[in-house]
Amino acid sequence: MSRFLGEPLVHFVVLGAALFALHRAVAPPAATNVIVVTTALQRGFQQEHARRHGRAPTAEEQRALVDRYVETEVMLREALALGLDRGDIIVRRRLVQKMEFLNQDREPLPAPTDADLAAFLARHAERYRLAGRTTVAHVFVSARLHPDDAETIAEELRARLAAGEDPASLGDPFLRGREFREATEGELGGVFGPELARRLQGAPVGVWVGPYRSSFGLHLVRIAERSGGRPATVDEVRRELGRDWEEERRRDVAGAALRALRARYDVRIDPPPAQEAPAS
Amino acid sequence: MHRFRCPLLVSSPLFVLTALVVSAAAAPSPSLDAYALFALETMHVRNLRAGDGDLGVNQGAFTARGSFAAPTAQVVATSADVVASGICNGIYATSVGSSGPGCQAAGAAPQPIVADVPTACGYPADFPVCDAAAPVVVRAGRRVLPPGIYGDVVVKSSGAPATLELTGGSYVFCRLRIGRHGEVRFRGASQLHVAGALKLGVGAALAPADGMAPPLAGRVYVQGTSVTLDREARLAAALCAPAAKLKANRSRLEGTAVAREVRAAGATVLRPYEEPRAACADHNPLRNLYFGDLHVHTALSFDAQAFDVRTTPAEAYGFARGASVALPPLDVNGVGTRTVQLERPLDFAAVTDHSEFLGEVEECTTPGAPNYDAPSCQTYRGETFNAVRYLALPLAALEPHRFTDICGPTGEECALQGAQVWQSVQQAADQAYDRTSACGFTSFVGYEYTSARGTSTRHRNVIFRNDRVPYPTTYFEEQSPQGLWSQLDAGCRDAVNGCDVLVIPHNPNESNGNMFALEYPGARSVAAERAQAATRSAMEPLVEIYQHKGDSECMNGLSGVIGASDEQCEFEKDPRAFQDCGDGTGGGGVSRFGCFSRLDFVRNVLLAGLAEEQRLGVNPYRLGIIAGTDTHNGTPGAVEEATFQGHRGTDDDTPATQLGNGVLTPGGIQFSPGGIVGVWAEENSRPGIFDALRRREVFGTSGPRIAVRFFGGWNLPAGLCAEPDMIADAYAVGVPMGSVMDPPTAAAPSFLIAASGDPGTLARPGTPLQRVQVVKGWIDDAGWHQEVFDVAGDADNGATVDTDTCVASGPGAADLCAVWTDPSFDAARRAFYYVRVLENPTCRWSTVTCNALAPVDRPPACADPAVAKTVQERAWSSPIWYRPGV
Repeated sequence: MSRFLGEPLVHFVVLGAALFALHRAVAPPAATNVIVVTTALQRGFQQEHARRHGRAPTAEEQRALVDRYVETEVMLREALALGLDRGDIIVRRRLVQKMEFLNQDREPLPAPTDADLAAFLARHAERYRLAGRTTVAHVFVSARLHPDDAETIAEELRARLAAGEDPASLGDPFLRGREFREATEGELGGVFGPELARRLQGAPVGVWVGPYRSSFGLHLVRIAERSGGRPATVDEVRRELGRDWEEERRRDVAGAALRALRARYDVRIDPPPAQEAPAS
Repeated sequence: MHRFRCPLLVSSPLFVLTALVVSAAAAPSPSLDAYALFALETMHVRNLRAGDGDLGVNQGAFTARGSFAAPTAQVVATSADVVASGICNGIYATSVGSSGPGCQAAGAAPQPIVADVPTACGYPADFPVCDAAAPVVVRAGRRVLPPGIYGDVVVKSSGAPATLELTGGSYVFCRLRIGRHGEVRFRGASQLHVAGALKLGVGAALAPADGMAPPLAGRVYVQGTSVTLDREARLAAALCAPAAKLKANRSRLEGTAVAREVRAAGATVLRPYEEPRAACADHNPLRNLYFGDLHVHTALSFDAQAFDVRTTPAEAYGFARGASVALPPLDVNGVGTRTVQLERPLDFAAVTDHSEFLGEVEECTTPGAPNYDAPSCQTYRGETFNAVRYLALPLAALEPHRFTDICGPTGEECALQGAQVWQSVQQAADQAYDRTSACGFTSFVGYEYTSARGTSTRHRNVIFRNDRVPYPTTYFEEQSPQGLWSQLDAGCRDAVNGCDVLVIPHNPNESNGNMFALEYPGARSVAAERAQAATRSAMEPLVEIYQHKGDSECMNGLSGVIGASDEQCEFEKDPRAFQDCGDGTGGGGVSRFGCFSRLDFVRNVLLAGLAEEQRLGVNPYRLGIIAGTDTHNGTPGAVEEATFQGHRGTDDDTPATQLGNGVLTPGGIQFSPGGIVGVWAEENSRPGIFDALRRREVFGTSGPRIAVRFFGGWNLPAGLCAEPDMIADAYAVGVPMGSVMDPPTAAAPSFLIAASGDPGTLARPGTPLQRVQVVKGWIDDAGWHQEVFDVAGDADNGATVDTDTCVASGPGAADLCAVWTDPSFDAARRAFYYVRVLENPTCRWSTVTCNALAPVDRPPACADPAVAKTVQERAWSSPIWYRPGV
């Protein structure tokens, strides 16, 4: 008995019978000259009309929409019956395009796990590198207000700052403000000029230093905090990572799907044509 | 962008299916948070528009009459009666009297919906008492009120606008009455307890201060039995008035409102929306300076595409952030062969492609698209001159039509294609927006509405506040700015929670008087004109004063303006032959033909605004000032004269074409790199930058990163320029650029004007400042007046530039500051003041480009004496207005 069940021929017959039964049960009737405009379809027309015109179609418009659907369906089926889709470059491109997207969506893409994102981040660390950021306060001595004694004033202010005076009431007004939080070197360059922004990158943290010179005058500065340029963590760039990970996965999936499909074909490539001299 | 096309097509049935499942599964919410408008007993609405947020009656009847448009709102009540044409997302009620197909019964409602409404909306168990407290009356100007117990509070706004600002915390008022156009603003989270009635008069507002507090910063508890909102009143708060009858007449409710009974006619109900993002590490109440470009075209614009520009919106945002892009001419693979990159990235940008042909360009450039082979597409893909002219023709027509061979008889094909392109535009902006706490870059979704009706430029850029955006309006649907504004009201401001928008006109210099013509189409009364003026002022708070196609600040020799000629108006002018439009308008400006009108220049438009305000009580042209590039290369902020590479793809991709004429617009050497906009904002985020634009605390520059601050007040200390807390003091005693001054408390206004020069880069140091000027405009019985005052610096500082080597020499200022008092102030006359900051002269881009060519290769334009060899780069502040009391 068990031997009988192991026979490939038996498998073939049983499976074939099952498939035949299934086909009978599932396949539509052979007649193709029936057009059914389902309620669901009509609801779709309604919604589309509402989306475009901001209101539901009138009864007359609804009839016209159904009518138009029926007419296009008739034309489409006749065209398909005549084989007009074959050899049409536009249809060909459209179908190929659809296939490309189908390939991309072939596997439902699960949400990436933290491990997926971490691995992706490790592979592309440079892309997600975070710029160095500095939080800096300054006390400003204006060269315009003190053309002759800016240095002296700056030295005096430096002593007062060292003695613990409140910086908020010291120095001259600076148009762009007194404090800049988590600014990149480029952003600081836009405020103080590139030379001073560069110097700030090397200034010690937590103490008043300077004065440093800009085109506007002298600056006593205190770096409250500095984070060097460094690779990002997953949490810091989760949104971008998720987006880029998904893009890469879709590309990979589509590539694999195309390779798999191609493997099912025997491809014969005839010799290339002889080079013809270009027409002059 | 092709990548986004088909996934949408393929998966769209899936979306529909999901949407259906979701809406079928939805049931009435038992939480008050879900309701935009909630009544304990009855709700009667007529002509109501509602965004998402449901409408609920706890135990009682709901009635909707007139028009009822609430496509995403559920109606939940004991019984409901909805006009047959009404639209909603389902009715949940025990009995449904009448309803139509757009708003159908979907199920039963729980009885009651919420068990204890007062507690659910936070109503205090012991309502604080207000008796014997001192009343507060604000007649005009601004008053800041700390938390506390007060008597009757009245904000009157007689003549000049009156504003009461609540700093945050708990307030108790006996009654609150906000008169016509008065405002009560929340600066921080505030709980406002009103023991008696709450009334908002015509145009009054009870809302958060722009840019300073989140949308629901105000919670308003009313013990009284009456809450009234008159026409155009705006309530943006969480209202809890369980004993009150809420009457809203043609007003806006942006929040959640709970009342015993609700009667609303012509009201718009929206709920606040805040786009998710991390809080900015750098948030400065005294405001930081950010630079950006709000006028940028990419390959999606029909003209840029025809000029072989292939820069995508994503690449344009990338360029603004510091990445390079490749410009035409294209190589055999269709890749650009010139690489450009900003020396300094921008802080923000908006891609503003021509909205008109988004679908057509996609259709005509995508092999396989259904109408790819249409004759019009073939013309468009043909020779550049024909391509651009052919598509641009309808934009000047009085009755424009889409190309039926590309779009089909109903335009459907282009609408479909356009919708997908618009998706990609939004996606690019979304991806470029830095939502981390670094707040390094802000992108805006936008487009350009391209009306050249009657061949005059009436172009306007449309900039959205966040990711809630409607499909663009084009010249094909709306042929007037009024039409554009009403579309933006209907599709955005009045329809979608959180949607807000700015419309920014540009190139009035090419409009032959049409951009700012004094027109009130269809208005038959002064009241109707006033309403139109108010709409214009709300939709268009800004104007682009300078860009690639020249300067629109001012022009000498035009009729109707009294005052000495201003030599600094001779700056980047459209060189067409001078002809004055007089009091009329002309045509041809879009091709740089036709007459000039005084209303082609911002200074005179501001004067016209004063005159209209005198006549109507509302200033239609209260315009803040910005500048932009109008690049058609997708290169925002590419404004450096010394490295200018053109702005129009193959139309100006070589020195010869840059210096000669382009194929379409006679301009060539007369064009320039354009400018950028500076914004004083608390932080670099969409709400931060957008609100600054809306309150006009912005300025334009002709390219350099000049910083300028401008405050006006009545008692500014003379020594303010040396005060350590200069900026904080200026905010405390004055108003910043873009504002209307408080009513006078001194004989003449004084102004703080502080500017600093561009600090430059290591490769290219900035140019020092020469001087700072104040431009004053005012009107009296004699007519329109202008006067220019030098207030700091030195016009004769002797600085020069050698136009053969472009080496500059001579002294200049790194920064300048002055407190200036108007020497000829008349308190009875309306006036405005704005600042112009001038750099020392430098070589114009054309001089640099000509010098780089061998003498034999230089085109004749290089020797044209009409073309300036040097340029004085500059910044223009937004104005400060003076408005006499009545």
